[in-house]
Amino acid sequence: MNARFGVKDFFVFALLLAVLVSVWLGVKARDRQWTLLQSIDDRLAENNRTLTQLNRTLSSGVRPVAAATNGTAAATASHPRIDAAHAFPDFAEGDWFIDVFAQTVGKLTPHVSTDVYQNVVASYVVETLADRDPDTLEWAPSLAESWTISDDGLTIRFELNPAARFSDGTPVTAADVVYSYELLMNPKIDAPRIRVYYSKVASVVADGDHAVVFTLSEPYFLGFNICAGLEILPKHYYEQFSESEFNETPGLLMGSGPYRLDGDPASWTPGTGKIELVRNDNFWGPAPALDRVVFREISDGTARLAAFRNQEIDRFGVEAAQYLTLKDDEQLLDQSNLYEYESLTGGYRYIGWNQVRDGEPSIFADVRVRRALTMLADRQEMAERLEAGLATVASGPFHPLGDQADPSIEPWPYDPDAANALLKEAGWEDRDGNGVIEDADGREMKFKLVYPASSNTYQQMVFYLKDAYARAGIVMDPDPLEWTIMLQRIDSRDFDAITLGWGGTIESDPMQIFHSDSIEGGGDNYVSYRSDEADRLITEARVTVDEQARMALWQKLHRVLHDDQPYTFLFNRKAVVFVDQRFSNVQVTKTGLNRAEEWFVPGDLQRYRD
Amino acid sequence: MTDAAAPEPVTPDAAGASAVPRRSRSFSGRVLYTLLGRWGARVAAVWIGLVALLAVAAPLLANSHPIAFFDGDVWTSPMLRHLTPTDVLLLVVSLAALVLWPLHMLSAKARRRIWLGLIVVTALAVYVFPGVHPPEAVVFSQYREALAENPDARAVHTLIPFSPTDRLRDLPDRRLAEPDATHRLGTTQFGEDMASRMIHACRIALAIGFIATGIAVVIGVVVGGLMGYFSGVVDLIGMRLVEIFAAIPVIFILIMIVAFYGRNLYLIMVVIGLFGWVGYAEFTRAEFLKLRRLDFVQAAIALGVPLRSVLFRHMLPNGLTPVVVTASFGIAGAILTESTLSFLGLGLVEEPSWGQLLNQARDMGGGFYWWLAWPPGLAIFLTVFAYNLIGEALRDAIDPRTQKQKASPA
Repeated sequence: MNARFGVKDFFVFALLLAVLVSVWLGVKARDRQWTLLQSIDDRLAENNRTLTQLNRTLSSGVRPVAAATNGTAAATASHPRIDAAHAFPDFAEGDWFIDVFAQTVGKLTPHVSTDVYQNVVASYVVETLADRDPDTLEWAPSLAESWTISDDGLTIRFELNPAARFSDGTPVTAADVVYSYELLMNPKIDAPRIRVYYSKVASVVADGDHAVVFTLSEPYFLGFNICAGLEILPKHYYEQFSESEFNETPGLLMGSGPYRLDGDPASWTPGTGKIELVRNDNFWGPAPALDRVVFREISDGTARLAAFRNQEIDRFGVEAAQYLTLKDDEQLLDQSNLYEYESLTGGYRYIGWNQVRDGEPSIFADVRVRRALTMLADRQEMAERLEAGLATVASGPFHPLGDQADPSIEPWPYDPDAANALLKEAGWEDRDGNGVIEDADGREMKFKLVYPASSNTYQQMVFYLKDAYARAGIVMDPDPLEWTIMLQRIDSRDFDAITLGWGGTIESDPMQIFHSDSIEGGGDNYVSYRSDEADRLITEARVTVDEQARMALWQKLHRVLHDDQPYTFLFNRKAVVFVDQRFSNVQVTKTGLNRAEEWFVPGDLQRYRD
Repeated sequence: MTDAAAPEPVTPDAAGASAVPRRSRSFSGRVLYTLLGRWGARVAAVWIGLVALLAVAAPLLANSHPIAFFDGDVWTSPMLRHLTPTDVLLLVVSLAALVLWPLHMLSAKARRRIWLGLIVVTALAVYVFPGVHPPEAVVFSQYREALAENPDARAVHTLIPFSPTDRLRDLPDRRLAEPDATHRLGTTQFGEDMASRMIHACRIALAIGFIATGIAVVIGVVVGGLMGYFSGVVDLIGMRLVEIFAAIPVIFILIMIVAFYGRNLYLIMVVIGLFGWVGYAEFTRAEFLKLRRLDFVQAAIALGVPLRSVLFRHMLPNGLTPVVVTASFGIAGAILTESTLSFLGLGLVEEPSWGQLLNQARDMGGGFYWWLAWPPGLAIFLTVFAYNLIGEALRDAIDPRTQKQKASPA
């Protein structure tokens, strides 16, 4: 083989070089075309946007005329919180907000969906008659511009805002409100859980096109809540579906909110990994800034964090276990803002002591035992060590930010000596020298504590309690259960003690948790707590419409629950959320972060466009 | 791929040569000799021996309760006081085995009888009659606290002065500590000493392997033996049963069972056994199909020996060899299954197992703790590898084709 560089080789190389150069030139030319196209596209989108803005100003210019004929000028004042965002000097329309859910949402159809996150999606799409202002917690107009409540609290009359439009442009009328209520009460509709709340509503009657009257069958403190909170659905749209179609179609979500489902709701299918909402161009209030609100579904916590790091999602909720490592994470702090807040809706954690086992009073039937068990747990230290300081010790079921809680009540202190004395007083001491305390009948203080498996946070806490109780001669065995199995055990009251959390609302109704009527028949008083005093206070407060008198009753109830300790109230937890830093006007309110329709992204920071 | 497995019938390697000529040894003796002649199997045996030793002696090696403790007035032994019935049984049985093994004046049968007798007596003593009763509410930190408060107190600690579930409540800052002089392998997310947990986890690894495989072998041999001996319709039905069981994914069954019946190690063992017998049944069936036509079986039947005797006394010992080989792989499989389950967070709650420790090496914040990852990872790998090596070597030692001489069984 002779490896000489001949003339032929030279030509071959030259040809190769020529081919390479021409390919490169081709790529370059293509690139230039592409950028040109992109800029044309941008200009087009810009034009489009100005057009919609023009349209909107036009229509809002028309609106006061329509309102004037009705004799009210409140129409332009709708959605003041979105309006407030428009006042920022760097306010700009555009960009998306990509939120994340830890579970898939199987059904979006209102009333019949049982998915946890459905109401997050629905809150962007469907509106109610009135809304709580998240800062003041006062009721603020939404679809209804005003309302009057009769003195006995039984009749509530809502005046609808005549400007209100559904996302297909049809006006919201009293007929739609009546229809929404009747749809819910239709026994063929698969909504028994929500229907229960409305059992106290006797009738909903339209009075003309823009007024509707709710009548309650008996006074109920949450009466206004449930009437004002009814999701208003467009009659003309939902009417075309039969009851069974309504029950079974997963995506029938349409309303008057600032966003609407992307595409035809009837053909929406679950399981695609994301839910996309687009701005409702027929929205009757000020336009929200973001073009789209997208919900991705990522069930694995580590994957969620990775997605947030890669800027694939814009919000990331931090668990206590992650907090210490993530709060100083340079990369995360560079790309996002950290929000820590207490929220009225944050709920509380507790340990429930089951007072009845197999029809017999259990070891927890004695209030002294329950108090001792509370005082043996150093909740302050637990909050600091296990919850990374993101929790405050709770004294009762009502959130300290709200009016239901009695601010003078201090949580029981950590006091093992007092606890041991209480146990001794109740007849519990180590009689046979095996290290475990017994009562006079020889019953040993041994129990299993049920908690949700797969939660590291709960496990840390349960281990902590086990070691704390061991010091007092109490044997506690951790009993982690899968969620469905746990619900089954709760329903059959088949557990010694359980640790879980309750979600919160602005004004909660303790009936289902602490009233003795909720012991039987699958109510939520699964610890079988029975107190005449608590029953009386709950019953009385529920029919007291006057807010101040009612709050006084709730505060008395708080005291009773504190003394009786049916639960060991553990913590009110703070929420910690990272939000991508390109968003402006992100605020912490009493009920958590404000809604994404109030956020905007200044023009130069925008990342996504349609 | 070992050199002995290479099919070179003429020049035997040293181990093979020394193994074969001793005609005086029994079959099992010869197999054992060949087996231990291979360096791979020898290393594997040493590793498993070490794991077994750690498993038996765990409470003597890693314990928060001191061997001896002086509180200023009297000396006590909290360690002895806190031994559980299982600890005592394991210690007595292993000690007895160690003592009896070299006693050659007794016949093997006599030694076995004494040993089994000891097991029964000890088990009765510790389980049925409450001979050993450790306190149930345990405060691990009491000794450390007493030593700190009382200058007169003295304690003689075990090699690792921490129990596997001692969460160091008196030293809350030691959570998730990297390895140092006190915690040789660091501590876990709950503050437990990693070295102590590793040692105590040996028990579960050994128990799950042997008990689950034991159950599977018993079922497999009985079903397979019946199928092979009767053949025909019984075989047909049996094989369909085998096919059904072979198609059941054990890990999903386990996940379901754990969800419904809670975390129970014995249940996990039983389930792995109940769904893992298929391989053993197939091997036994094949062997029995072959054996039932052989003269000595025909002779036994002709002599009117009862079926039970024909099956289990005459045929089984000759058809067991492939099962023994499969079993050693089965043990490895069972350990892996338990580790998988624990890694998924469905194993035991408090007691340590290697899979669970591996699970703790990563946390939800995306953190990764290297000192929690390598010891259990290595232990699982080495143990599974060791059983596979032994299985591999066993197969070679038993298989007459890799032997230089034809080994005639029985």
